[in-house]
Amino acid sequence: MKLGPVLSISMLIIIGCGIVELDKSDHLIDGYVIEDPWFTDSSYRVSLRTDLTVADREKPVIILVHGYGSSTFQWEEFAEYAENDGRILTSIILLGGHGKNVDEFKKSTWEDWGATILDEYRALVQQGYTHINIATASTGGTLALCHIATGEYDAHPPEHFFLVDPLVIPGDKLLTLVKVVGPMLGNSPRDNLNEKEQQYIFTNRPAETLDELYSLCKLVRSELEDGITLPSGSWMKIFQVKDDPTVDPASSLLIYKGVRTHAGKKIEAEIIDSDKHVFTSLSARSTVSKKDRQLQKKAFNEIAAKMLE
Amino acid sequence: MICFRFNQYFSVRNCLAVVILLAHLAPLTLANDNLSLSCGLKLSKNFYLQPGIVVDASYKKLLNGHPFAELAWSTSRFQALAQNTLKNDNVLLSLGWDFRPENIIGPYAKVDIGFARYDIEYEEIFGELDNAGMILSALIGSKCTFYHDLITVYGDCGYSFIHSSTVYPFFATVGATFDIYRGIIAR
Repeated sequence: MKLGPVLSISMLIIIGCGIVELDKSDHLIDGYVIEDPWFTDSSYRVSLRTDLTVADREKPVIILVHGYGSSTFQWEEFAEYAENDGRILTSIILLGGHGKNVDEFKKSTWEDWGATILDEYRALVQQGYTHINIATASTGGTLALCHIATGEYDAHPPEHFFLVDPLVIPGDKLLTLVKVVGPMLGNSPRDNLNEKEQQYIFTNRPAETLDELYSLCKLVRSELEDGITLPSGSWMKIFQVKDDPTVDPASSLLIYKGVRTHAGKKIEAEIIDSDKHVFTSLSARSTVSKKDRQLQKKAFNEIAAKMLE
Repeated sequence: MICFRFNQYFSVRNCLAVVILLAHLAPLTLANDNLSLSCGLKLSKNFYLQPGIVVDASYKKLLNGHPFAELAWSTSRFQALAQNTLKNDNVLLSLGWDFRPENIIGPYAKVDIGFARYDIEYEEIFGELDNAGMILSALIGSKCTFYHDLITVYGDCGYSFIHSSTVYPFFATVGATFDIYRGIIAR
């Protein structure tokens, strides 16, 4: 439960002051200096790697999808973990419109965000990879649920879906006002990023993108209410942090109620005793405890073990 | 802000019991043409579109009949029978001001205090979720009365200052009530 009056009054003051401008400073990924390495380093995507052989196509490959406003760094720790293991291939995706500058981000739609997931998935299918898995963080999970609902994965079902803190109900309910106050504000920048995080996560949140985000949430919520069936043979697990400041944990209950396997069985879910949204990504955070590391490691081990079953 | 855990006090059965008790207490009040006690149905749109029951009361000789009190319950349980929705209940106690109580059509303003709670299903997994939250909201609306002021149709919209899993900032309500005191009990 969040108290809204302070935020409400703050918003009214901002509205009275006029539109919040986009900050494109050079030290931010929002600017034109820092760019996600995904654009220049083809090794991020398994489908573009030239060092892999035909034999590697029998290995499990996992498509890693970050969340709204973030970038490939959000899954780099798992990619490093998997590389050290050697038995799993990782394909880190950059959502469409992300990772370059805030102007590109502002123009993008939620369909654009999800397009790169499907591009990589289809490329892997075409190249003959048979053990495809998908792991998502936050809005990445929302996109995955949308793609499942629209049958994008029916022809060649991924074996496993791992959803970390998937977004259906926003933690900040003021997101629901984006259509009303968004055009007035123009931008709702984050104020809780440290210097390192600002190089990987967009500081600016243009109103257009928040509108896209909320539209996506509403669409997926509606799909969940009607029921979403996983592709044949697919399995899903939700990892939801108990005190998530960004995603309302009730999202996980909605997903658990709304999704069934092709055989009609329930999916799996786990509530994680943490307050870190996307607890699997710790490298850029200001404070990381021993417990945080243990929870991350446990999740990594579980994801890897499931893929190698 | 003190956070209440309502689970041990709140149940749909208890709230319905309060509503029914109020309706039965009506004959015990002073038999009086100045009293108005209405019951009706409402449809409220916030996180869910929730139908519910409303009981409101006013007394003409109290500040010229401007203030009124209302007790309401709305639920998503009916929707949950057909869809994968949370089973959510909202219980509200409202204090309002009818600006033109004698008019057929008139505006009103009110403050809602109450709580929202959804059932924790699959408790072995989700038992630790915070499934309840207080409601504090302000509304403005308009009412229309007809058939000898016995039937009232109303609509309002408001802003909720406290948000929770199933309470979003803006909401709207429409409803209709029948004055059971003047229409049935006092006759």
